[in-house]
Amino acid sequence: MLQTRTDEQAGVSPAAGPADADAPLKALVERDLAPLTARIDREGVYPEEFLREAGRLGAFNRHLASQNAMASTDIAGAIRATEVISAECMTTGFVAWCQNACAWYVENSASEVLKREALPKLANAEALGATALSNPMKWFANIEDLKLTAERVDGGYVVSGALPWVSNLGKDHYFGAIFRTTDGNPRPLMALINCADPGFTLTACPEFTALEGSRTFGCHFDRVFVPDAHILADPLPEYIRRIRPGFVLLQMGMGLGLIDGCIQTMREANETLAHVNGYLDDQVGELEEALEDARSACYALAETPFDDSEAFFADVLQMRLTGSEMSLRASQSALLHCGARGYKADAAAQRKLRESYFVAIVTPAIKHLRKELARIHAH
Amino acid sequence: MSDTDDFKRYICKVCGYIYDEAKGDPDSGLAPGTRFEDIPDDWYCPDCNVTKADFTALEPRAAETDTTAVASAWSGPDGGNDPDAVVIIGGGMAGWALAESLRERDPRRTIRLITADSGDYYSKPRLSNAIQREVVPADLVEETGPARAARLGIELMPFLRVLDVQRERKRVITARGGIPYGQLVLATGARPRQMAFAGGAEAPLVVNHLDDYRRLRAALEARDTAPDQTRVAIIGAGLVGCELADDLSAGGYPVALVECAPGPLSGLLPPVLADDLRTALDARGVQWHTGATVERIEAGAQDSLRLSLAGGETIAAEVVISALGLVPNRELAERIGLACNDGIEVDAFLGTTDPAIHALGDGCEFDGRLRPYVETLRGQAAALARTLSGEPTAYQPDAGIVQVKTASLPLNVCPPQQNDAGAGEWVEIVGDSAGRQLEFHAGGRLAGFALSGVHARGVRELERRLGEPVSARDEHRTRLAS
Repeated sequence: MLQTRTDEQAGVSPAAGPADADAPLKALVERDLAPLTARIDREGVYPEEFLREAGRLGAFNRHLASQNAMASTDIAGAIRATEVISAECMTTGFVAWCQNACAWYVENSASEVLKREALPKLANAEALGATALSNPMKWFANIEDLKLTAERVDGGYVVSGALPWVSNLGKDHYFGAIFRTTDGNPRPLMALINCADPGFTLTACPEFTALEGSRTFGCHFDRVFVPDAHILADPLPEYIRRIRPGFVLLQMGMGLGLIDGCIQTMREANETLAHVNGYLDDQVGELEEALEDARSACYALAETPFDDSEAFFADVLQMRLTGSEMSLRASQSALLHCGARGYKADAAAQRKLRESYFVAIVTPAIKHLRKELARIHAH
Repeated sequence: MSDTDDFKRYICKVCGYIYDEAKGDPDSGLAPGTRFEDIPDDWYCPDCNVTKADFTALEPRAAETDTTAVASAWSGPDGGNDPDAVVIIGGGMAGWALAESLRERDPRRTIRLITADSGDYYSKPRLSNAIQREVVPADLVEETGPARAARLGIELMPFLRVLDVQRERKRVITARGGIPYGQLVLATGARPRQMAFAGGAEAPLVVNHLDDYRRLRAALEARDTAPDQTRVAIIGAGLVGCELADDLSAGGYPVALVECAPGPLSGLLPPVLADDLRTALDARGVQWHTGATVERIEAGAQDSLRLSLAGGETIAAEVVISALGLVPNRELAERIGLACNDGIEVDAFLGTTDPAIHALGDGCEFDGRLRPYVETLRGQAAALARTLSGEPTAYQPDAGIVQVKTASLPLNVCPPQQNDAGAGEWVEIVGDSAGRQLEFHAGGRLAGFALSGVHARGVRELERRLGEPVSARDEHRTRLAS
C-alpha cells in the first residue's frame, strides 16, 4: 500500500520524482545499514562506513547549492534522504542531520577558507561534522546561559569552557560552536572547530537510553585557538536568522522517517494481528494521512528556507512540534500493534519508541518549542 | 534534624547534574553528607567530567508560563476530522461574518476558522477614527477570538498559517497538520501595497490590521511629549490616508499628507468635493503636498525621518505612514491553481474554479471588480451562507457606496458604474455651508451620488432612488465639470 503510494508519486514526475532520487540510498540502507541497526542502538556501533558511502551517493549535499549538480538549496531533498535513513535507524538519521547541519553552517558562512577547505569534504562525508548549537539555541530562547567564552588574541580567539553532549564527533570531526567574547565588544560569535584542535578534548558520556551509536561526547575547551578564518559569522544575529529555519527543517527528516518506519512496523504486525489491532487508536490509515499532511507542510516550508520573518520561523517551529507529537503517537501505536513481540529487546517497535522520545527532547524539545511559540504569539 | 535541614545542593553549569550534599556521590567515593566545600578538587562531574569549579549553588527557577498564550499556541485540531466541515481561511471581518451567517442557518455543520492572528474580532473601519473617539487599541477588540468561537459554536484555529491546499485530497495543509474540508472558503483579504523607498530608513508603517494599528499607536506615543511634538507624514491621500490624516490631526498631531494626484481621493470624489475635503483638512492643520511623490526616506535630525519629494521639497516627521491602497492576497489561490486576476476570480455564487472552494471579501474579484468594502463582505457572507447551507444564492452586488469617515467632512459616495460614467454628469442639488448633495445623472436617471457634511446622512434615501428617473427640476440644477 505504501509502496503503491510511492509509485504514484513517482508517476507525477517520472524523471526527478522523490522515489527515483532516493532509490540508490534506499538500496544502500537495506544492504549496509539494516543489518547493523540493532547493534548501533544497543552496542554503540557508529555507522561510519555507511555515512561515508551515503555521502558518496550525494545524500548530504542536496541542501548545499554550492556543492550539488543542480546548484539548488534543496532542503526538501535533504529531508527526504534523512527520512529514508531514519525509517530504518534513527541514530543514523540523527548523525545524518548533524552532518547536514554542519555543512549548512559553512555553506551560509562568510568564511571563504572553510568553504574551500572543509565544505566539499563535508558535502560528500569525506569529513564528518556535527552541530553544537543545543546550548546556544536554548540561550536564544532564554533557557540557559552560553557555556563557552573566548578571549581575543592576535589573529583569532582562544575559547574555553565545556559543552555536555555533542553528537557525531570523532578525532578529526568538525563542528559549529558559539561562544561569547570577553573583549571590549562582548558578543556571541560562531566558528567551525575541529576536534583535532590543540586544547580540545572529548570525554565519555553517561550511557543513554537510545542513540548510543551517535558518537556523543562531552566537549572540553582549554584555550582552543580559533583563527579568524574559521569564524562563521560576525555579527552573529543576522547569520542565525539565515540558518535557523534550515537547521530546524532539516531535523524533520528524523521524525518523518521515524513515523514512516512505525507505519511499516504496524503494517507488518497487521499481517497476523489485524483482527485485534483494529481496536487500537491511531491506525495505519490515519497515520498515513497525517504523515502525508506533515510531509506536504514540511516540503512547502522547505521552499523558502531563507525567509527570515518571524511568522515563517513560527511555522517552522510549529512544524517541528507537530513532528515530535506525531512521532510519539506513531511509536506508541507501533508498539501496541506489535504487542509482546514488539517488547523484545531487539524488536524494532520498542527501539522506535525510544527513538521517538529523542525526537521530542532533542533541541528544540517540545517544551522549548511551546515556550518559543507562546512568546511569538503573545502580544 | 538540624544537620540535614541545611544540606545544600549544587548544579553542574555544563550538564545540569545536581550534587546533593545529603546524598553525596558514593560512586566517586563521596559519602552522603559530604559538604560541597569538602569535595576534593580532582573530583569530576559524574555525567560530563567537568570539575567542581563548574558547579554553582542551586537556585530553583520560578515557573513562568503564560497559560493563555501556551494554550492558543499549541492546541491543535481537536481530533474532529469531519470531512464535511466548512473550513474558512481568514479571521477578518469577512471570515467571521460568514461563520456567523452560516451558523445562523445551519446549527450543526462543523465550521472551522483558520487565522494567522489571534482571531480577536474588531471592526476594521474603526481603526480610522479611534483617536478622536479616545479609544485605545485594546478596546477596539469587540470580542476575543475564543469567546466569539464559543458563542457561535465554531472551532477557531488561531496563529495558524495555511501552507498549501491539496484539492484532490480536500485537505488544508498547515504546520499543525492537515485539516479536511467539505467546502473551503478563502477569506484571505488584502494587504497594504508596500513600496520600497530609497534612503535606508525602515519601511513606513501601514494600517490594515489591529496589530498594525497597535504599532502605529506605540510609535505615536513613543515620545513622552504632547502630540504636537510628533510629526506624522502620510503617503497617499486615499481612503485610509485621508481618514488617518483627519483622525491624527484632530488628536493634535501635525500631519503632512503626500499624494501624487492633484487632490485627495481622486477617482472617487467629484473635484468640488475633493476641494471641500482639502479645505476641511486644511482647517485641521494638515499640510498638503499634492502632485508629489516620495523619492527617499532617510534618518533626519534628532530621531526624525526626512522624506525627500521628487520636486526637491523635504518633510521632517517622527512617524511615517504608507497608505497606498490594497493588494488582494491571492497567493494561496494561485499556488493551488485557482483562476485569479487582480483578485481571486469568483462567479455569481462566489465560487472559484474549484466547485469545493468559494471566496469572499477583499481578496476576491467579483464581476471584474475588487470591492474592498464592509458592506460588500456582509452581502457576500449572507449569500454564501445560503449557498453553503444548500440554497444556491447569487450575490447581488450592493451599490458600492463608499463611506469616508473624515469627521471634519463626512462623505458618502456612490460612484457611477463604469458604463454610466462616460454618459452622464454630476449635478449639484444642494450646496451650502453644511455640505453638498451631488447627483450623477445619466440618461435621465440617478446613476450615482456624492454627499458631504450633514447631507451625508441622506445616503439611504438616495440609495433607494438609484436608477429612478430624475425630476425635470433637478435636471436643471448646476452642472459640474466631472
